[in-house]
Amino acid sequence: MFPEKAVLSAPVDPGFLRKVREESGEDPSRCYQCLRCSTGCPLSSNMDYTPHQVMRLIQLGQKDEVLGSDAIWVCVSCYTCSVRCPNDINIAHLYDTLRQMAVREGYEIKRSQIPIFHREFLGQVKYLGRLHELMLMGFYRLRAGGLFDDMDLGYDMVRKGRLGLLPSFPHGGKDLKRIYDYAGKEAKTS
Amino acid sequence: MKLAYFPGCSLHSSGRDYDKSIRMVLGKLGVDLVEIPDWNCCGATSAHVTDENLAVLLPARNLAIAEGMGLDILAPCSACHQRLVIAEEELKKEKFQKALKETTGKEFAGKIRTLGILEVLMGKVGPEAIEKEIKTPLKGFKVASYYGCLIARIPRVKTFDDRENPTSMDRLVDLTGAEAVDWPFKADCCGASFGITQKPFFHKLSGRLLDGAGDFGAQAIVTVCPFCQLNLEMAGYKEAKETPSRTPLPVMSITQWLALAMGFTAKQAGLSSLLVEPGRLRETVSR
Ligand code: SF4
Ligand code: SF4
Repeated sequence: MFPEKAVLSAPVDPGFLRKVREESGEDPSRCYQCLRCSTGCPLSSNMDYTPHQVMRLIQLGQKDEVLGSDAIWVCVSCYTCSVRCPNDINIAHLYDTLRQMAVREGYEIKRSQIPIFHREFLGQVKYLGRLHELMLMGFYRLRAGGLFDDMDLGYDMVRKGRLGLLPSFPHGGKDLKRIYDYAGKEAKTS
Repeated sequence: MKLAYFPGCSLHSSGRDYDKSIRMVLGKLGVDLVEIPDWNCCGATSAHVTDENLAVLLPARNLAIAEGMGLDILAPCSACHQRLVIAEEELKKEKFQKALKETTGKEFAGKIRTLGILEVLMGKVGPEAIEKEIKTPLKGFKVASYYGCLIARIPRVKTFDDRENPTSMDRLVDLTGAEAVDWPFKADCCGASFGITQKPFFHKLSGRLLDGAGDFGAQAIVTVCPFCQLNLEMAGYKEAKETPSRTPLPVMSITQWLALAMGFTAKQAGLSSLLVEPGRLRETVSR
């Protein structure tokens, strides 16, 4: 059930659990390995560590194993685990914190397309206030590769009026710039 | 009844037939929708995965505007709905109240709340009022109501439907004269947020849903979330391109289905914009 070997061979970071707890507001030490989270997770068979294993690794101070894991990027944020955990650990939210820590601390991310996509998405919202699907796809593909993937699908969607060609005028005015500035400042100090 | 309307980015683009059918159906049922002026994107998955503050403050701005209007919000997209409801909770914390004031000059006191489309239809309007408006019963159709993962899965918040076995959309399907099939994947994740970045996972999750609905005898799938709708459609579309002998299930929004039963035409309900067109349904409904 649990990969003890990996745990024994990796160094312990005694402050990791506390850091995770403080930053996420969730308490992984409440986990008693009931496996409800992993049983219901739609992608657990594709993860190097399933959710209950990640909880145990955090308890054991295995920072490198957790922040370097593929699992935190395979998670699709469906919140199934979060609403089922009998100990009220919002695991999906905890994973948000873990991903943010992994990016900030420069851990290698094997699925690098995911952060590229989120960056493009949020960048567009910053300047336009709303998302323009076609433009997002274009910019994302430019950065991540595969610019001409799914051309037939895109063509049919435009033909059927399901994709607008032009973005709307910007929305949200100065508020959005200030929200992004605030978030940027906070991210630097954490 | 009057509600502040938050369509979200998707309903202005790939989900625009969902938007149109919501306005048609609710108009008939006496619900006035006032679009939140100058609303902004809720940040969706991209914000909560990467930045705690954006994840709260982007939706918070919309909440504050709607509270100024004195109206509860209808947010039909499950992703927007979830982000708005979570922001309502987070804004109970002083830290975020202050940040909202500092960045937008606006405040949110928690006097209004955000509703999903099923809560508005089945909770506020009610089954009796809907039943009275059914003009073209869609008899003989078996439909899988697909709720998706987000609508009933918001931690620590009481949701309208049961988390594990939501039923309000099944009851709505039954009201239209069709038969809602009992199937075990109704609240499983479709993988939408990986539709672009992690195709294999997306195909694994949505493929299972399409096959599952077919195995349980459904002839169509109805959804509440525009991402689920598009996602399942794309999966079916791709399947049909690769294996032309297979006819994928049509997937449409619940309000498109309801509009047809209320006597709107196939054209008004936007059937021709679907990627997978529902052949037999066209013979039943008004042209
Ligand atoms: S459901 Fe909660 S308590 Fe059970 S194994 Fe998962 S995290 Fe631990
Ligand atoms: S939120 Fe992530 S870890 Fe939890 S069940 Fe969904 S995919 Fe699995």
